[in-house]
Amino acid sequence: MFEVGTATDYTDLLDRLDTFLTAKGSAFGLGYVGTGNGTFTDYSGGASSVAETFTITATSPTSFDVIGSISGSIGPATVGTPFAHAKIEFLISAGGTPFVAGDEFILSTAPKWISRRKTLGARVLATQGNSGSTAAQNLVDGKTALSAQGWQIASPITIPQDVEFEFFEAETITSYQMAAFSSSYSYMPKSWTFQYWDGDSWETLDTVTDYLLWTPSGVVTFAIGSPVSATKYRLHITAIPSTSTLIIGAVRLLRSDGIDAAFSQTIWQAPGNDGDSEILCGTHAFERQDADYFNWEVAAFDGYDAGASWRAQAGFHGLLYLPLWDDSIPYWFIVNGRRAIVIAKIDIQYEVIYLGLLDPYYSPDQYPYPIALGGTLAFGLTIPNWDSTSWRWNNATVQHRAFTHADPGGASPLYPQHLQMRARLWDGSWLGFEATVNDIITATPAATRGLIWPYRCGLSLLDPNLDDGYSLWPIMLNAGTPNTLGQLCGVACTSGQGVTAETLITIDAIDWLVLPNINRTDRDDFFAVALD
Amino acid sequence: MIFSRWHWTKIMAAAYQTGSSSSPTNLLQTLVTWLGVQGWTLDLSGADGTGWRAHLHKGGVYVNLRAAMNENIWPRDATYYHDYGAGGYGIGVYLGTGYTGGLDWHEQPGAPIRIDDSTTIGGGMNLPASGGDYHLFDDGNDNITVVVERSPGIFCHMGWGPAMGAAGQPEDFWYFFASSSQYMNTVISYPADRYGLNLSALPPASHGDKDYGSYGTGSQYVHTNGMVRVDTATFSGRWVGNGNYANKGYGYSGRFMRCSLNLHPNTQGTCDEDQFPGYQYILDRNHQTAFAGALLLPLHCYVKTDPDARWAPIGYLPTVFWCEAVGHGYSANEVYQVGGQDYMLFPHFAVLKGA
Repeated sequence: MFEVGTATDYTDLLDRLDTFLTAKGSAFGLGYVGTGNGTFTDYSGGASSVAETFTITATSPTSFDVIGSISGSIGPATVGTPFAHAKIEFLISAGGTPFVAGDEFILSTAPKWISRRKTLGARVLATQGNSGSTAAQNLVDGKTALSAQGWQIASPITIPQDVEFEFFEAETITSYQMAAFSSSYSYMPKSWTFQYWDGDSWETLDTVTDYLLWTPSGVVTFAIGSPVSATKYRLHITAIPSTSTLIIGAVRLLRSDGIDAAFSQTIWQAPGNDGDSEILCGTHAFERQDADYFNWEVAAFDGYDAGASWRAQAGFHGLLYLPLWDDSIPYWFIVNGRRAIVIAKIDIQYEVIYLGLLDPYYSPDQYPYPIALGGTLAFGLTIPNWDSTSWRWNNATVQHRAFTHADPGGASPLYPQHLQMRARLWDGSWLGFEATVNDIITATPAATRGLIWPYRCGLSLLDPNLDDGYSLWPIMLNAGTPNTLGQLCGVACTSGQGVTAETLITIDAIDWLVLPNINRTDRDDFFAVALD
Repeated sequence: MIFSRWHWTKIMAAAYQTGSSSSPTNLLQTLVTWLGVQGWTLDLSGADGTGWRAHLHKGGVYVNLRAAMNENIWPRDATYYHDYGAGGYGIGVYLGTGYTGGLDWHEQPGAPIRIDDSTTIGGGMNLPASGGDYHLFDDGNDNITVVVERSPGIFCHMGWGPAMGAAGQPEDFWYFFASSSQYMNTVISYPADRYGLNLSALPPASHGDKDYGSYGTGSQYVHTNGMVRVDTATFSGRWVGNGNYANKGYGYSGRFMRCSLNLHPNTQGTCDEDQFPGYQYILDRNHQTAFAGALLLPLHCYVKTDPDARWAPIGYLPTVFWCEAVGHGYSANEVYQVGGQDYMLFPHFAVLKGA
């Protein structure tokens, strides 16, 4: 199933995606055989969908039987009237040629995705120090997990100093943690109050005075006696040990379930198209207002541990990004039980992620967890400074490419994290896949490289079909060992000759949305996503 | 694995026969009998020269076959032959649009013709005088494949059909292929290793018949051994071939065709491989090592467009796939099951055998 809409900003996009994944089951694999040329649209699972296949058969020009392979008959459906059931939803509309008895649509469903964890995070604004490599935003969104950049300000330091945390949705904070860096613990605050905004004024939840017990890399938890739900909290710092420097490594604002609500994070469990799988993937939204970027990090996991942080989940693989912005975002969500695809239009370019399973070329016994990650921004193991413009959506280097057109540039040594397309192998390790190297394909790839077929083999002069239609080629991930893992589900290669962004290619009952490699428009820079 | 979603056609009742032949003529006679069972109408089956000729049709597709018995079979005038050497053994094949009893086997209507001299372009299996063990495949949709083990472990092939696998063709595109070009169809003496002769043939349509290094103007040229009949709007001559040299001696019809696969080590990079979806950088990655298996990859074909000089898809061979399972956990003549279908494995390729 798919949804097309416009989000107000990058956080709203995440919120909408979470709702889309978890409110209803998915419906996918639309097929049709018949005489009538009406349309079958707006299809989705329902709140109680299970893994089954529906056969939707016309009994007259205006009526269809709806029979699930598990649910049995749940019809009839009437042409022109939305069909809404807890197992499946759709709309059949009449066309110029009426349906006749026996015309048949086929559609599969899977249960809805499960949200294992969701927070939208917080925007941070301090009295001082809201820009540069040690801006206050660093405190909450995990940046310190990757680099010791935290929040740091220097003389003259204004006292009191406020660090305000504005949540994107109301959260009830039951405790908070402050973390010190190993070499700068002596610059941590000495006295403060932890407060929330009640709509009129700041109200105190906790007061700490003359706290001098900071230790190198120490993390201290402060409990809140009477938690409340609020959208804004702050640290109101009233005393510091040194007038020259104030440094805080990180702040975590914890809910009763132990989740850091200030750290935007989602972990979803997809059910698989069989309804019995546990496919774990998620996102982490992060931003820097001063550097003007508002991004997602995407990740996959092997398992879920409610007590572990996002990055500490079993089999975590991340460091793959989707650059967005803090403005309206037209989007497409495409979901089945195995994977989700998000297309976000930023200005005139297209940012796309792939979260979930490949269609593998091995049996489930051989390759039980063929999960893949696709994003559009990758840096390798060493990421840019947090105030770098490399994080922005207008990064024009090979770091910023569609996952179908992944490119490691001149990375050496090469890690999967250099590539926008990655997959988990059968041994639990991850491999990156390249479509070009510095935007060219002519260099023969080393035997160890993962390749994206057909892009890595070139298609610079590919024309449309002779009937002016378009062929779609599966996108295979070919490992250098030499195993070919499988192909992307619902993503295909097509010629860019004669198409533009958002051209629709109709193959049987499915429309395929043509997209460019971000904003590149060479003939080999296009791919298509099934709106199914 | 097969690209099941993109590259599949309906499967009707399939037919398969295997056995041993005693000569090219014996094999051709056996094939004619078997084709008759599959519904092909016989126009002629009879002696010709020291060998045998047969002409059959089904629907509008006419297949012309000629067994060579120590002779050349592809004359191009009163003196010379297209097939190199002083004569040998094999079976030649090409498709046409009709049958005319008064014409020689190589002059039937609607044949592919070479640019400049308008003589017929075809292909063939180069065979020993003693024939070989054969496999005959019909997928039920009149896509015929013949594979012969011409010597132990060495295979050659030919085939034809009424429709390439779909790629948006304005009409059904007929096709035929063979392991050798007509140039190498009957040759006995040759100076180096040759696919389809002393080496197992490379997959159909895949630019697998390289010229002699000592002949012509270069050693990287590929002779035509696979052709597709496109619509007249695309090319008025209709038949396009997989040679890579615009010269009649290489079976050039006036318009090039390309295949997604070029396995020949001496010609890789000479067939415009980076201009259309092809396998140039995964040639040694077809098989699986994590677990026994290999991919079944379609042999896509493309025609050069005019005047743009780009490549338009014209479909793929519907029942033959590039596959390197043999030597990687599987053996030749073994059946490989994928998606409820049986495929018979041969070196470098696999043929749909049916359910």
